[in-house]
Amino acid sequence: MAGVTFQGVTKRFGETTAVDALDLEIFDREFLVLLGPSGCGKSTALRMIAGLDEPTEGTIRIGDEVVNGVDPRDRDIAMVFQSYALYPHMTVFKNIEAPLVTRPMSVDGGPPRKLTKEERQVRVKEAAATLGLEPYLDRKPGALSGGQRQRVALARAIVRRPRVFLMDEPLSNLDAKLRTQTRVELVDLWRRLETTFVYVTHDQVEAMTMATRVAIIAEGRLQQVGRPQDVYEHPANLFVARFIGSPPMNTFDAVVRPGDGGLVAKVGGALVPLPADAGAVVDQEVVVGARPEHLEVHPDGQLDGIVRTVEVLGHELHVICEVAGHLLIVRQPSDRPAPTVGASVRLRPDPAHLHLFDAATGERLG
Amino acid sequence: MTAPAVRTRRTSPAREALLGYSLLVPAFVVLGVFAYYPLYRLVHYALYRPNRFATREVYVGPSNISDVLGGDEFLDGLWITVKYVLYTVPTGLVLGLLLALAAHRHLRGIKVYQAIFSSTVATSVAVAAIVFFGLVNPEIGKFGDVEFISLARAESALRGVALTSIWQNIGLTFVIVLAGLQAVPDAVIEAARVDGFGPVRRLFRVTLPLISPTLLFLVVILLIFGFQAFAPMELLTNGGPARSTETLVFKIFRRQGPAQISEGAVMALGLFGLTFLVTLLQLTLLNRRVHYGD
Repeated sequence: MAGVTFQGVTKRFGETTAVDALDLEIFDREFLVLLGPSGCGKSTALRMIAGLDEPTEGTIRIGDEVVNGVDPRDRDIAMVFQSYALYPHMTVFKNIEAPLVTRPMSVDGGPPRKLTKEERQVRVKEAAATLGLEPYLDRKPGALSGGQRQRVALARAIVRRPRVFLMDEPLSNLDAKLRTQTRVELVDLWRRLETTFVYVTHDQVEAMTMATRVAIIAEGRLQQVGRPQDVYEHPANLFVARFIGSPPMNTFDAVVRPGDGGLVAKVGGALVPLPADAGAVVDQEVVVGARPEHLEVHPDGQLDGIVRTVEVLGHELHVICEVAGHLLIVRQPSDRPAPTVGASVRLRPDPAHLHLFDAATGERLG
Repeated sequence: MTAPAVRTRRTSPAREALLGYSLLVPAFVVLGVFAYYPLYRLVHYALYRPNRFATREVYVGPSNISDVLGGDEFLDGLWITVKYVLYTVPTGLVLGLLLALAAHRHLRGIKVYQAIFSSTVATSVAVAAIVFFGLVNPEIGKFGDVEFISLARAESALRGVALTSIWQNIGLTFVIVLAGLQAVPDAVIEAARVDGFGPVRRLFRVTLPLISPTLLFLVVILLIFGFQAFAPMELLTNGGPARSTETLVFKIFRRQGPAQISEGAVMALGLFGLTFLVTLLQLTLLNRRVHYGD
C-alpha cells in the first residue's frame, strides 16, 4: 500500500506541454479520479506514475520512494488500459498469470522470490474467482465479450497485489448498461483490496460516483482537487464550474452594484441579489453561475426569458430558456406543470446557491 | 383505386449465370493464355519426345517422368536448390527482422533509415548482381579473397550467389516485417513492460507471436523465391564453377533445344510439384502455431 506524490511535475513532448507543474498528493488507499477533457494531460500523468513516460521536470514518489527513472516492472504498480491490452495469443489463464511469471514477489512477508507454478496457479484462480472468470480460463481473449475482456484486464492487474492500481479509462469501451454495473463492481473491488486506485476518465459521472477525491485537470494544469460533492458545490474556477455537473452550470456576465441591504448583480437590465459572502466589490465585472436546480420558473423572478425547449426526462424536466441572448437550463421536478414553448417566463435564481467568478481570471470569489 | 402495377425486372437464374460467366471471361482468357496453355504444353513436352530428326513426336509417357525425376541431373539440381534455400531463407528472414526491429522506433530521422533499409526492394536483380560482382569477384572484388563466399571455388560459389539474394530480398523482408510491427498495438507492449517482461521476453513472448502471420507469409514467399532462383546464377557464375551453382530453374532454362526440352519439362513439373507440396506443408504445419488475432 502506498500513496503517490507529484512534485512540480512537467512533461513536454517537443513543443507541447502535456502536464504543467503538477503538484498533487494521492493518499494511501484512496480512489482518486483524474478528470478532464481529452488531451488535458491526465493520461500522461497516469503514464508517468506507471513509468511508461518519464517526467521532463519534477519528481514522482510512490510511497516514500522517488521513482523517476525506475523501470515500470520495478514500480510495483498494475495498470488497466483503455483497450485492455490483453495478449491475444494467450489464454485467459496465461494473460492473468503474465505479471507473476518473471517478477520476484514476497510470499507471506518473506523475502521476494519467484513464485512456483503451483503458487501462480493458486493466485490466478483466486483473481479469476474474484471477477467471475473461472469458466473462461482456457479461452483466448478473441472469444470473449467486451465486458469479459475488461474483467481479464482487471484480473491481470489484481493478481499481483500491487501497491497502486492505475486505470486509464477502463470503462469507455463498454456499453452504457455494463458501464453502470462495472462502476459499482470497481468501487466494491477497491473496498475489498484496500489499495490506492488512480483512475483516469473524461466522464464526470464516473468521477462523481466512484471517487473519494477528484482531481480536475485542464490544459495540463491541475484546476481543483477535492471530494466530488465539494467540487460540485464549490468549484474553484469557471472551468470546473462548467465541466462538473450535467446539465452544466448556467453562467452569465454581470456587474456588481450596491443594492438594498447588500450587493446585487446587474445582468442586462435585471438585478439579482447576491449572498452576503459573495466576496465581490462594487463595479467588479463578474460571471454569475447558477446550477439548473437553483433556478426556478417563478412569477417573482428577476430574469425575463422565453421558453425555447422543454426536455422531459421522466423524473424531472429541463426547461431551456433564452435570457438576454444566453440559453439557461432550469431543472424542475416533473410533478410541476411544464411551461409552454414560446411563452414568456420569469426565472428566479436561489441567492444562497449562486456562484461568483472573477470575469478576468475565472477564479471563484468568496 | 387500385395500386399502380409495379414493373420489376426479374432476372432468371440462367441470365444471372450468364452474366457471371461473362464477367469471368477476361480472367479466363488471361489465365488461359499465360498459365493453363503453358501448363498444357509443359505436360505435353514431358510426355512426348521428338525423334532424332525432330520430324515427329514419340509418346514416352510416365517412364520419361520417372527417369528424369530419378536421374542425377534433377537430384543434383534439387540438392543445390535446397542448399540455396537453406542459405537464403533463414538468414534473410532473421536479418530483415533485426533491421525492422531496429528501425521500429519513435526516433527523429528514423524514416531516413527506413527508406535506406527498404531501398533494395527497388533494385533489380541485374543491379544487385553487378554490385555483388564488384564485391565478391575473385579478381576485382573487395572481398574476392574471402574463401567462404568466393565465386571462384565450387565449394563456396553458391554462398556468394546466395549473399546477393539475401541482400536483394532484405528490403522486402524489412518492409513487410516493419508493417507487421507497426500493426502491434503499443498498449500491448506497454502492458508487457508493466507486467515485468524484459526486452528479450517481450520480443519472444509478445511481439513475435503477434507478427507470426507476417512471418509465415514471408517464409512462404522467400521459399518460393529460393526455389525459383535463376537470375543471380545466370549473371554471377553462369552455373559454375564446375556446375556448382546450377539450381533447378537454371538447369530447366538450359534445356531448350529440341533434344532436351522434354527433360526440361519434366524437371519443371517436378519443381512445380515440390513448391506446391512445401507450401502446403508449411501452411498446415505453421498454421497451428500462428496467431491471427481475433
